[in-house]
Amino acid sequence: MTFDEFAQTRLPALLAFATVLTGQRATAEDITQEVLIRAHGRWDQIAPLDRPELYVRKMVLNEFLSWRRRSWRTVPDANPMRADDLTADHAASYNEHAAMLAQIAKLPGRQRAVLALRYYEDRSDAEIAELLGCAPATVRAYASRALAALRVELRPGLSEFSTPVSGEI
Amino acid sequence: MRTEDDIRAAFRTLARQAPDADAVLNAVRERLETPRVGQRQASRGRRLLAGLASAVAVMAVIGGSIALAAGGHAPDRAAAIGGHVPHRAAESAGWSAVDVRNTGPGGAPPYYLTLVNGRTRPHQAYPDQYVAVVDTATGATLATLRPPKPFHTFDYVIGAADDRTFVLEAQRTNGGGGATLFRVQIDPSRRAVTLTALPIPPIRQDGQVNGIALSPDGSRLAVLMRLAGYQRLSVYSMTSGAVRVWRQPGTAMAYWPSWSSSGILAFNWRSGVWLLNTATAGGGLIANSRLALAEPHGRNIWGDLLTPNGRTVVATQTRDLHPGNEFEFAEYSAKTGRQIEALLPEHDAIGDLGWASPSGNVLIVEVWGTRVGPEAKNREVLGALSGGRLTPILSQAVAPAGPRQDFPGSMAF
Repeated sequence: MTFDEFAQTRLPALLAFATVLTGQRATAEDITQEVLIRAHGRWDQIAPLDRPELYVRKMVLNEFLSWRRRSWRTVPDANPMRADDLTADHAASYNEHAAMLAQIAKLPGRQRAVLALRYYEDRSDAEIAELLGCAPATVRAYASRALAALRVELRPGLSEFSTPVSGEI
Repeated sequence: MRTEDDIRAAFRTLARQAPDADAVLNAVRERLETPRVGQRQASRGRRLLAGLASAVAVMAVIGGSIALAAGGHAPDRAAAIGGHVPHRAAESAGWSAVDVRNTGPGGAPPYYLTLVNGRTRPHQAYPDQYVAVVDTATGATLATLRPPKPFHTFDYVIGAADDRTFVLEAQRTNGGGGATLFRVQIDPSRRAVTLTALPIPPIRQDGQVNGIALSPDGSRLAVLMRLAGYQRLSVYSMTSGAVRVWRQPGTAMAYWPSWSSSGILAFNWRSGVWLLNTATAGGGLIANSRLALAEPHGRNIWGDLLTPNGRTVVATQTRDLHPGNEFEFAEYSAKTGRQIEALLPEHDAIGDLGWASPSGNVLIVEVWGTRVGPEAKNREVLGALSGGRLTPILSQAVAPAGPRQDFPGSMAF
């Protein structure tokens, strides 16, 4: 497969993955461009691989984590996709999922990557571990923590848990 | 609908908003066809910058005198002399109210440093960050610190258990490029904040920093990095820049470094907590370390921290339920690996550890949970945990709501 053939057939899926990963269309485009430029430069080594698309996907993942290299401590844009970025057809579904996406956008990069690989790409923890370069147990820890954070933020009916105290808990 | 199903649906919605593939492919083709002269110039520029960075690092090691450009963001910033960048606080109201001899609420230090999002420059994905010095008792901003030129953003702040030594990492752009470490010295009596470039080479850009920790006395800095095919621990002298390095082959990452006063460094590797005596010989990270604590079956430990007295390892610990989770701050014996205590157990909560006092009796923690907080809407509490009781700390300087991931690196006591 030539680089052009690869780009023409696999680019839409790569861009969708990058968009899910970053939550930002512009960042997804920048990352994918950077990765494709680098992949082009070493296509002779990538093309013979069993699954070149997996390798390039890993490049996208690494670029995302590198892009946000230390940003697991920073707070990214809580409203990752502007309303005027959206077509009318998607507006309803965007509104429906906006709260979830806003909370996911606040997660550290690795937690977000685990969620994207698990729930968008449906990859196993072993595959995710290989892509991220960590142990499957660490993947489970990332996922567990991310899910806990989302549940805490999105859980309704908080008033029933109110426990007024004066300065101490 | 379960949280997992909500995530799937939200991701599918997001994926439909992906950029147009043809437009991206055209942009890639244009870049690939860019005249190679430009590429060579860019490459030469990078080499020149790399050379300059090396030269600066060497100057720092030899003479301890990094001359940073005067001017910067603040008009009163003087040229650096002897590695010091006198940095007058831009906002200093309130200093007089802080008595550094006293402690803050619940035994916490009287003030802390926190990163705050500033403006986002054109073509940057993330906002630049500056540092606020915050009064622990009132949450008032005592001073703000902005990076000296040529840096635009601070990216990392850590503190020592002596509670008055801090280290900041400055970058030219948020997320990469030219990371340099500075020591922060704060003198409330003179309302002075001074940045000093450390005699430590710029952090390598070809690796991923997985943790930075300052020894309790502020004399040594540990940097854990993942590099191609191995993990590397570097321990630097804060005064001379002398470094010792330990390596571990493989891709399994080591992270969450923390120190005891006696020079034992704790870190997490393959879900266990390992202890390395940094005074002993040997360059193998795991070969020279002892497994102090294995992750208990069915539980996740996170953000583990060796208390400065070296006796205990504290970690957040969760157990998944369906749905929800059980949460606690778990205190383990560093000697036996056995759990000694479960602090602040909650359902459906997560938390982070930020600092331990020299005795280990006071912990600075953050907890997010549906049952946490003096008001129902206050689900997030930053506080001093001592004797099993959490005393909330005001943190008005930190703007964003929701999980802030303050520790490690975004807030330092």
